[in-house]
Amino acid sequence: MKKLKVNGEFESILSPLEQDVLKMLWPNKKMKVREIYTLLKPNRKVALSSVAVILDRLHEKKVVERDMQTGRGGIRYIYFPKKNKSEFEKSVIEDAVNTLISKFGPTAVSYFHERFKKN
Amino acid sequence: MGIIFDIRAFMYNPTNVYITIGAISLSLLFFLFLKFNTHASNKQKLFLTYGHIFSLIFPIVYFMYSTGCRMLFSGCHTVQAITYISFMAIISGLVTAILVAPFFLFNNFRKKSMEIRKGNIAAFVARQARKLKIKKPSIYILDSAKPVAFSFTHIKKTIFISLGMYELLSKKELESVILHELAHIKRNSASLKLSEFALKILSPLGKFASFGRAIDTEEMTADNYAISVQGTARHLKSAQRKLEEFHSCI
Repeated sequence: MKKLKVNGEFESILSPLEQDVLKMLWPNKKMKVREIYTLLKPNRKVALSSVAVILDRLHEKKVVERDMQTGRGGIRYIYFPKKNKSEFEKSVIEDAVNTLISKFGPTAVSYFHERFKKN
Repeated sequence: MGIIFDIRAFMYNPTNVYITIGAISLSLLFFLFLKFNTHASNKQKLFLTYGHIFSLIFPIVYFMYSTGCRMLFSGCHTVQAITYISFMAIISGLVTAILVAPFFLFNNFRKKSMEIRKGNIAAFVARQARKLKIKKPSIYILDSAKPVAFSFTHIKKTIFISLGMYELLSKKELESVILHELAHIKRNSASLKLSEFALKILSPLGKFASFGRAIDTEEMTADNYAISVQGTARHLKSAQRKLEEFHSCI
């Protein structure tokens, strides 16, 4: 089971570059690969191909969506976040909770019950 | 009884014997030429491959068809007749599937793509196709972030370039990839790959014949063509380096 940090960071769920790319796209920006690359380049050593890989990976994980857009510079992918930061956090928590319940069943449910009673 | 009896009955007719032995000998002859004639051109290789496959399959289909139909129409051994005819249908279906598969593959890629009819790339492809004296291929941008490029020759001369590749490469690098694919179209390299696949699937001798070296030669020839047109290997090499970078990140 992946360790979940609920303080808004996703070190154990997303790689550092994935987090940086997502930070660029939140809140709800629409950006091209090259635009993200240009913004990231001054702060970290990164290749255009790495940014393209990361965006494709985030798209496969259904964290970001993309559209093919035809413009003056030709056809390009436009990437945008599927969920905003808090929705993403909720979905991560939901996945984690569902995994725990499906793995441990009633034990997990009674644990959550006790844990929420304490709070 | 059973298949051995039917084969013996089939071979009792001298015409069937001549046809079967003739076809199998021809098939072996085609295969030996394919295997040992290293200087054969691509067209000769294709002829030998399909000649080998056809003459190998023909006696089987002929036996099943004649024996199965005779049984079916005479009303005897209906189950056996249906078995033969079913086997014949499976073999014919397999051959058809291998020949038809590229059509489905092509349509599948085309559905996920956007055709480019105007702009720099379309003009470049038209200009280079004229130089190569081939019909201008259609050019499609495939909806995929993975950088890939490939071409089709049989159904419709087409070059597919993924949007991932289009975004990753510079103009000159992209042109080197297009020139590489145009060389493949001119030389009909795709047929060689399809034939190798058909040979491996349909012939028991398929594993003893490899087109590996011929396919490598095709790749090198296509690279050399791109380099000769651009007058430098720089763009092709940097395109290859970017693709390697991408794949090493995955």
